[in-house]
Amino acid sequence: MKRIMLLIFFLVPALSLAGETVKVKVQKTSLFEQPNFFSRSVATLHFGDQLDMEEAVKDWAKVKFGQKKGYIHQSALTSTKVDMKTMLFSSSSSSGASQDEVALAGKGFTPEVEKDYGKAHPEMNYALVDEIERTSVDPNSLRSFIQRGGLKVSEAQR
Amino acid sequence: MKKIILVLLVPLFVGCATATEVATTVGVSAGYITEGQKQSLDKTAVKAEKAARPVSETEEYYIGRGVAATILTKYSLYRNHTVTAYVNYVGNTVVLGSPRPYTYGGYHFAVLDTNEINAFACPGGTIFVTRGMLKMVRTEDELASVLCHEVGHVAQKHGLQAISSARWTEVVTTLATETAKAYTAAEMASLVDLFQGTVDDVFKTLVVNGYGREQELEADGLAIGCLKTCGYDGRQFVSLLDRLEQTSKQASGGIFSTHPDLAERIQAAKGPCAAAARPPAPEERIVRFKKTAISW
Repeated sequence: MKRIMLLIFFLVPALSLAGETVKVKVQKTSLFEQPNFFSRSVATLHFGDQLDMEEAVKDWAKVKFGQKKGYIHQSALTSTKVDMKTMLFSSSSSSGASQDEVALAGKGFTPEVEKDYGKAHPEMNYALVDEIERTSVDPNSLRSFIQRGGLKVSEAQR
Repeated sequence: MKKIILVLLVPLFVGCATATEVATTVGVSAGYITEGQKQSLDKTAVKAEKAARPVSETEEYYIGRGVAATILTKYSLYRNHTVTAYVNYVGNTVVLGSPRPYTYGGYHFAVLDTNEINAFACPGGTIFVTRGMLKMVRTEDELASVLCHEVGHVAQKHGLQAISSARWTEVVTTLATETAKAYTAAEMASLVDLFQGTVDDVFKTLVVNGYGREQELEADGLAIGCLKTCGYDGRQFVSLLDRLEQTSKQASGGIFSTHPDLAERIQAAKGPCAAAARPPAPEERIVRFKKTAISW
């Protein structure tokens, strides 16, 4: 039994070591100067970019990307750090159990699967879905919309 | 006995095969386990990881695109730039106040050209609202309430919970260990079938059966918090639910068939919404809503 306890002792540090590097799990986002959606962008980040985590600032992470430092919202990040609570108590297909999202890309449902599905189902109008996804809101216009409408966002995220 | 306990320990570390490999390597070096046991444990960890892994965010994105494409076979897109742009401004405002402002492909809002009163949140962040629903809302705050509720479903990944667990297990366990490049034609055909089944599972829940009671209440809770964060008046969430309930007495189909528990939702929302009260909207917010509402 002592040996088993020792094995667990070795396992836990092995897991915690995996928490220092984080990766971008969204197609594209900004590295912000401040933990604020409307702060100046200091770099554009893409899916899979690796960042060095420095500290968590509420919903944001202070990170280093090459020589650049800045903030990224934590919902845009994946981590190799293991969330034991989620892992132990959740097993559904929708759980947020820690997985390396970047490593999983290219497995399961991929663009190739979608392409074959679209070929088999020509009634699926993916061109229309692409059109919807091309609709974007300019951040400066959005900030103006929020301010002029007497609304707020960025302060609440701090 | 020790071997059994060791094997039982492995599932605790599902999802971290690398960490398991590190530990088993240490275990071999220290003489706690044999090389054969190490290999067995490593293989078990990989298998367990594959069987239990959740839907990845990229998979969520492709499922959502499939669901959106399916919805667009049933409804037409309303192509009015002014209305679509306004809905996207309000939608993107509430997204920034949500617990999940970023998804793999981002949030996108579109209007469906039907008088049916409804709204749908596809996994990954494409959100549809019908013209019928737009005609129900009387203020920007009420529109924000609808969109906040749908963003809540995306944030909580409620759509993905509709996927049959048996189907998902089949998806995961039939995958090759290599990347998609290694899929055989048969594996790819199987994945396409499973993808279709998965999209159908989610579509049926969104459009035909509706979410469960707890998911609706959870989305309402997130919506009220989101409205408060953004500065919208939470009380208008209840005003809208009240109007929907009144309308449900004379109408059927759409949201009334997929959201039958309006009275319970109103009761649950009253207290939190009162606490999320905000001062009256400034003139700018009122005017821009009225100017756009003419077109829907």
